[in-house]
Amino acid sequence: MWLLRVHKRLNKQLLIVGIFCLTCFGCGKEEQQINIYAASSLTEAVSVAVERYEEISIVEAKIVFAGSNHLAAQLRDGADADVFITADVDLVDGLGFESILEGFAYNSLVVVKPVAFIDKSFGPNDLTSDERLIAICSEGVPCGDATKLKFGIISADTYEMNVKAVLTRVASMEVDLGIVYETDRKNEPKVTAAWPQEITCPCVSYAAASSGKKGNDFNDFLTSDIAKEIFSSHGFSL
Amino acid sequence: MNRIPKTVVLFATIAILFLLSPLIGLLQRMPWSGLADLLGSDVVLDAFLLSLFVSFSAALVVFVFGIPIAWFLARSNFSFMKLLRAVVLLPMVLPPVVGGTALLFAFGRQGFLGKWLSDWFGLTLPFTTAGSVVAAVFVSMPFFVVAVESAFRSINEDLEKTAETLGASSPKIFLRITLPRIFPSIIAGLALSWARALGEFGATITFAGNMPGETQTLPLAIFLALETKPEAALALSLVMIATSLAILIPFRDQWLPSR
Repeated sequence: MWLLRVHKRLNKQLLIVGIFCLTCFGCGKEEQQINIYAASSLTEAVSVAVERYEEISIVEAKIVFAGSNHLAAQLRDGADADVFITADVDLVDGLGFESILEGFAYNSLVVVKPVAFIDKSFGPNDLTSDERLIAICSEGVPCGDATKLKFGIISADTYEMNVKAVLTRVASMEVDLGIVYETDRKNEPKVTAAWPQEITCPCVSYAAASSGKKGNDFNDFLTSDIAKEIFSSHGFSL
Repeated sequence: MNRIPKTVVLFATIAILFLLSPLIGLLQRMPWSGLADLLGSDVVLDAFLLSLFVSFSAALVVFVFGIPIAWFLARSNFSFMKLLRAVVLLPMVLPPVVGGTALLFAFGRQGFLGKWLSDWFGLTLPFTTAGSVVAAVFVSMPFFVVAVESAFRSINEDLEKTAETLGASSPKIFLRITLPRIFPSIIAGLALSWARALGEFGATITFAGNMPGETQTLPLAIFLALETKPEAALALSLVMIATSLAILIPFRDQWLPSR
């Protein structure tokens, strides 16, 4: 009887220790996770870069892609990110990040048309004509501000909230012309340059803000040769 | 009047406080001092007028086509009626963005109907105010149909049959017997579907796009402003709340289905 009681107590203690260990294990794993918030125009490149980073380091990354403004709003409202990669460095203000890596990659804008419209010829004049259906980014979001800076006033038919939405409109042939990033043109086989264009600035310049060792280590990786090669192969200028 | 049980009052209070708290949060953050400037801007005025136009146009279309649908669903012995009703109500459960994409597949420039509209009549719905109305009708129609169908079902059909045997014409039966009985539900259904049309966002931005003065309704303007100019988003939200309250508060009890 006495033995049994001890046994019972021991069992209970073991169980508690067991649960404690499990929690520890959970904590330990948590330490290795890095939260990366990245602008949607970086979707393909950052996915590849993070995959490589996971191979050479011990961390496991969780990436959230959305428009830069949208991400900044989430961070303001308490979302937790170790790294915030934005297409507009001003958005980092007031978010409390420790360090900022500015201009590690650049993206130029290009006027595209659906590949299926290969026979239709367009020119810069079409951007100001009412004849064509045109989708561009809305003013206030990075791709929209850059569009205005580079192309001036355009008679668009829809002002999208992010560049991927513009890309979808062109790829699905709902519009004749759209202004997207050079990287989008390169990665989306359903769109093509509307006319021969030089890849020139004004551009969008990307900045990565980071906090903590995990975040800062990742930012160091962004300037490494491995990362540079990934970004340039996706069409970014460095 | 019966006394309401205490448990009912308790649960109702909790639920009402829950519904009220986001509204309080919104009002608490409202930039009252700069409100006049924000409200006077062209963006707000354009979005407000467009929202009124789109939501009332949608309500009109829903009214004209919704009554026949409700009538048919309530009275027909069509064998696939359950399936048909599910199809009519589908926009209620479909995520609006999916609805908008589906509308594009149908009425977009490359859609199977849109292609034909564009080739034959030179008509394109996306990126036009008409497109916004189409999106609003699509999402708000089921709310009207549900309300009016149940009213049709609740009518004692003997009344209509009696009128018929007494020699009343069918338009007369509808106007004198049926209509007065379904009228409260028509009004309630209109209010519901109008409110749904006013708040419509996902299908509109996907199908009609976002163009100030043409397709940028209040919810679209709010969403864009949330990312770029949060104070303006709050001011726009206030306009939306005020508009819906102004329309919905005057609703009198006797217009709602009787107790």
